[in-house]
Amino acid sequence: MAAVELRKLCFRYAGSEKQALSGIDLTVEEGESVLITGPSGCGKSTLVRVLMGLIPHSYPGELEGEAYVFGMNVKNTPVSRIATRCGIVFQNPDNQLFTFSVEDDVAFGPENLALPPDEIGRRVDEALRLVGIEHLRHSSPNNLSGGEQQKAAIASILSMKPSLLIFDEPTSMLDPSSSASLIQRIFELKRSLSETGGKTTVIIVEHRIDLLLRHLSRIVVVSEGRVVLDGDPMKVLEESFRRGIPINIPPLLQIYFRVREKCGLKNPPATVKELASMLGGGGSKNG
Amino acid sequence: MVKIVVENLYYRYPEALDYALKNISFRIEEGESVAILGENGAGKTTLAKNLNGLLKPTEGSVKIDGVDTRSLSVAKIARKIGFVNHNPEHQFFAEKVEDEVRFGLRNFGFSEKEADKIIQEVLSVFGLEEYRGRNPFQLSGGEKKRLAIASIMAWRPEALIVDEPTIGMDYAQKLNIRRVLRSIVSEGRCVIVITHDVDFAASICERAIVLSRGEVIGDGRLRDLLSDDKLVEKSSLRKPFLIELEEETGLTGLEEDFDAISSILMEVFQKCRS
Amino acid sequence: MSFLRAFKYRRKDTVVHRLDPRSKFMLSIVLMAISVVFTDIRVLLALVSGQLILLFLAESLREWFSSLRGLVFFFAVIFATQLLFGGSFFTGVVLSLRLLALSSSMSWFFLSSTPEDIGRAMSVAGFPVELTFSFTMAIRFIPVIYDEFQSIYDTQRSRGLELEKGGFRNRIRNLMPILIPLLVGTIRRTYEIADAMEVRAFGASPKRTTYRPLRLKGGDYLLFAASIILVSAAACLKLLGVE
Repeated sequence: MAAVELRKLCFRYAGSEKQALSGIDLTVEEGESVLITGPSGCGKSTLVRVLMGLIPHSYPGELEGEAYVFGMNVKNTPVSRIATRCGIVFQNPDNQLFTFSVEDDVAFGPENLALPPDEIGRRVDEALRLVGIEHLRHSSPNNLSGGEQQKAAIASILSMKPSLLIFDEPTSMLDPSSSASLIQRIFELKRSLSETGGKTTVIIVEHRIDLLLRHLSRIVVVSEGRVVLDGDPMKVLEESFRRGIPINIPPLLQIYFRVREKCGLKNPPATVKELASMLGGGGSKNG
Repeated sequence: MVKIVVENLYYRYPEALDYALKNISFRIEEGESVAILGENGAGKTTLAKNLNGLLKPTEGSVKIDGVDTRSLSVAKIARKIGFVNHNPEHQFFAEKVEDEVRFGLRNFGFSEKEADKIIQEVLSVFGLEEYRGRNPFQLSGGEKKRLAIASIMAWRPEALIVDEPTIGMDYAQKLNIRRVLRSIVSEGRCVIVITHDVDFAASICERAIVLSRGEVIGDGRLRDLLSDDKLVEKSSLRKPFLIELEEETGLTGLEEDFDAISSILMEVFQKCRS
Repeated sequence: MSFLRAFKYRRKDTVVHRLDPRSKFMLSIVLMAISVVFTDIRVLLALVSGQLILLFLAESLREWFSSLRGLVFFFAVIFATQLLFGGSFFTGVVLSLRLLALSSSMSWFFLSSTPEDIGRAMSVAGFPVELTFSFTMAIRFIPVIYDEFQSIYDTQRSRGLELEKGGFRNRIRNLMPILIPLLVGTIRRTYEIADAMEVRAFGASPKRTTYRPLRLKGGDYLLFAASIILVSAAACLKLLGVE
């Protein structure tokens, strides 16, 4: 059973003239690490809202086509049920923490599921450990930095033990070092979860491709409500470059794609140093 | 044209124990393009707010054209120094885009006729003409940012402070904002950009003031400061891509245009091969 | 504003802070009721002294003291009305003491109880879960919304908005550039919060469990006993003809 199965998915928000999604076909298998990217307004956030069932249950509109998450039909499964298999972390760290301590926020989900207090305790401990914020257990959300708040939000989703983790532009409000740290943490925890059995799938919606590139198994490019590219990260980036699709191709690759043929380069460089030496060195730092 | 002189500035928030800004001194002359860089919490926005009078120094002074900000109202300073918040939605309240632009003009005493003319010009320059009658909240993220800047530039302040212009913007939107800011710089106005995005800063600003924990740890030519490994590490910043490329290849004066850079590199490569 | 400091929760670890909000609430209500029912100065003085002991145990005397500054205004009003309408100075003292007793009995409760404890007490008392959450979340987001207000105010001031200028009508109109973005921002925030709650399965089951359930301990029973004793003592005093 696939984690996500979308077929000819179309959606228009109530009261809007524009189609937000115009026929999305997407299958995500368990264990994948997928980036969904595309220019602003392409429908990425709408797409992940469907995955959680927020569309159509919280956001009215016309939803056509098929959407299945772990075999559950999104159209007639309540969000609270989907939430037992999928979790989502949103952009704004502040609005995802509602209590006065991180511990209580992490316990919030399991409390809603009416789990016994000992079980909740175990899950809270585990979630805090996985995200590496045990030291923030008693902190108040107001006193945390943006990056710490996002980690707390992740922990509060992990305590529900989802198999699919969705991140909707999690770093857009963070500074570069917090962003790098958060992305690192996300993929470390994906590894830890996989080690304890059961595959965890990660779907990230992001603009900042360079931070994520080495962790991804797949990139999906959405434009104007449709999937325009889907596959191996390097191939997708190169094709986007060729077609002029305005996504954030990392600067190193921007240059690589332009010069590779003429200079006969075989593999993409991982650092500026590598690029320089591939092109024959001669920099002020070399030789 | 405006001149800003900061002397031994210390600032402490009312309920705080520590100083958010310590012993800051610098001058910004007319027409300079300055990036204020530093990690989150370094004090960048606090400093910016001291420059436009929203905050008044606890000790030391900030003088705009020789006048201490403590004796000037925010509105008076705003006429000379515009301030664009990082969140455009913190300013939108009008039903139509054109009225957003009108707001500042009204506050500063422009007549309706003058205002109409200016609005027409400004919307056209910023590429927002077609949205004139639209509700500001219906614009896309990039358009909102442009509208925010447009509504401030409408009264032609001599200096502009922009707080985090690239937050949440995709690549195309960033290029647009960059174009807008560069044109303001080319008009001879002073532009002060507060940002984490070192690449963006490098493509607009000549000078950089680097803050760390409320103190200035670097003030000078941006390219020089950000080539200094020690400084870059101390400030938790990153070396801009272009500077790294220049260092590794020995080339100089690279501008952010991938086609141009690639041609230069290919030329060099041909030379190396032969 | 300083008056409100007497009611804002401070995170401290005192005997009083650790008590269950239910027992504290009961005692608080009893003390309030007694202060309203009696005018005998000895009773009122005893009440205020008792409150001071509680405040001392909660290490919150300083906050209470700063509230006195705000209360001075009300004391002045009380004495003024006494003077104007032919009352006596002594009555002024009594009424002021009563005000002090009332405000202190609420003060020590709010100073030593976390908003979530109050919320939990509310849900145990049978309030619907949505109401309890509305209450605690409102408190949780007050600082956030205040920051947003501050940011909006700064932004509009930087566009030349001057709230202090102009006649009454102008000043009201000048509030729009602040209220509208604040309102829109707050409404948007509530949608985001609602989404975040839904994806944590809020509403999944009609009965929620509690990770840290409230438990009554020895000290709480002491407070309950004290409340009962106080009510009986008050009744006796009244029967004995104390005013």
